[in-house]
Amino acid sequence: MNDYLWDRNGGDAEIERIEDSLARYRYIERPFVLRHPMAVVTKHARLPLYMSPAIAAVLVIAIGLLIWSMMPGKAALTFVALEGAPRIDNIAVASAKLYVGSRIETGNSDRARIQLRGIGWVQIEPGSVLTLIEAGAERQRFRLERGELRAQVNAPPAVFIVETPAARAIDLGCAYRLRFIPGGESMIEVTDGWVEIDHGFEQTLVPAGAMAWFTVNRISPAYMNQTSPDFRDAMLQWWRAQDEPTRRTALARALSRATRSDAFTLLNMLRRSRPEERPAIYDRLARFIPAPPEVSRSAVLAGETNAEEAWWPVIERELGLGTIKKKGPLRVDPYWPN
Amino acid sequence: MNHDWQGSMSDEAGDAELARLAQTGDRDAFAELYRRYAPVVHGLLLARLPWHEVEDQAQEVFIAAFHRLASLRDPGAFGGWLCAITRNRAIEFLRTRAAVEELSEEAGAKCSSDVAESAEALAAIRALPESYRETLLLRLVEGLTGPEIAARTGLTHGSVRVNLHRGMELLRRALGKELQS
Repeated sequence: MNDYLWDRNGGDAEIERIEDSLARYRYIERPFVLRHPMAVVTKHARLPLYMSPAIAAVLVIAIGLLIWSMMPGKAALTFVALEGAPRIDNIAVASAKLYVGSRIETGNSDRARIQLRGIGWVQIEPGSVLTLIEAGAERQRFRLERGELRAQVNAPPAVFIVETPAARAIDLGCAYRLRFIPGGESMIEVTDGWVEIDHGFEQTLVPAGAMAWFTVNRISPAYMNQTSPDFRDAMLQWWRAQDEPTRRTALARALSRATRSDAFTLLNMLRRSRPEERPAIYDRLARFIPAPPEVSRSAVLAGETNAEEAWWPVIERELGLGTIKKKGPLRVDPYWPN
Repeated sequence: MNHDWQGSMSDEAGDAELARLAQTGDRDAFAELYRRYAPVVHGLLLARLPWHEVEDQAQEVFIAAFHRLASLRDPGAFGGWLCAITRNRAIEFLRTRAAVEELSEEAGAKCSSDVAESAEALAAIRALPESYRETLLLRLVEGLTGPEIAARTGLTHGSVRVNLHRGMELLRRALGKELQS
């Protein structure tokens, strides 16, 4: 008789479904790392008396190092090579503890994963350079010089941060993909929760199912992956346009292609628009989701600071974008890339 | 180096020989034991600890085992001995880290329905009695077969079979209740 539960022969749809569901918890094969040189000590081995002070000194140093390593900011994260031969500080490593200043580099066929302390993991994709710059219990911060990473984080807002030379990604939970291309357009795509991408005083909140582009100077409006290619292309053309006619034409096309599900993007566009563009964007957005009474059309068109603030939660609720964890435990200063 | 365990021995015989060699300080032999037993240690820890702690604690278990190899009287009982070290490690960890905030898998489960489903399944298994919990995790998460679980943990085939089937029955009921609620 078939007994899939016992020997995995045959099949059982229900058990296989549970197995698939639990696969994310499965052990990932990795080499065993002896962190210290070791010798097997036999049960009856005796050490010469003169060795005792030396052993005591070694123990004191070891305990000191252990306490030092557990201090905030000194906490180690775990690095594991998944594919190829990724390097830490130019040395190929299969697995190791990471410390502040550790620089990870992956070649074209390398992939690695960092287990964050208690809040999730970061996967480093091929062709990337990533440096750990803060590793405390309250904040774990990296700098992505180039390449791509995927993060899965379950932590209060602003505990996990990735900086790039163009902008900074502040995790508001849960999962995202970040690609930084030096000198080019970089991208963030959020698959769960929210991520804030910011640069100086410009910021974009990117919800699950949305993405945004950024360069050294600018961050695009976030847009939903499911939006129509027509709207997406026109909106991005508007954002990228270098000349007035192109910008004007692209805006007109974007507004005509927009649907109710693009309301979040339209509000993003409103925030980045020029005075002469605002009436058209405002009116198009208001047709899909009317502004709440606290939002004054004239104040928004005049570009008053935070004039459209009360519109955000209405749109987020109407589109079912989920709640943002508004405040983390820590203040985040403006980020000025260098 | 050509070790005499790299032959056609059964796993059990091979494990005993590997353990004996490891007791003499043979690191290659220990590395092979690690390769064979890492999923078992991982599964037993997963039955008790937060997921994000399992990997580090698994390393600690093997380091402890390496240090204590001399105290293993019967190299043939390596599997059961290692499982005992693993369980003790988990208990010790929970005792000393009780005050540490746990970001549970269930909290992370708010991320997506797939993740939520897997967290629910894991939580349901963890709520089962210990013997069912361990055996089911080794089978459903780590992918070991019943005979492999028996060989690695030192349990009899009969015990493993009973744990699997009774555990699965309880798991079905638990997941069914969750679906209903």
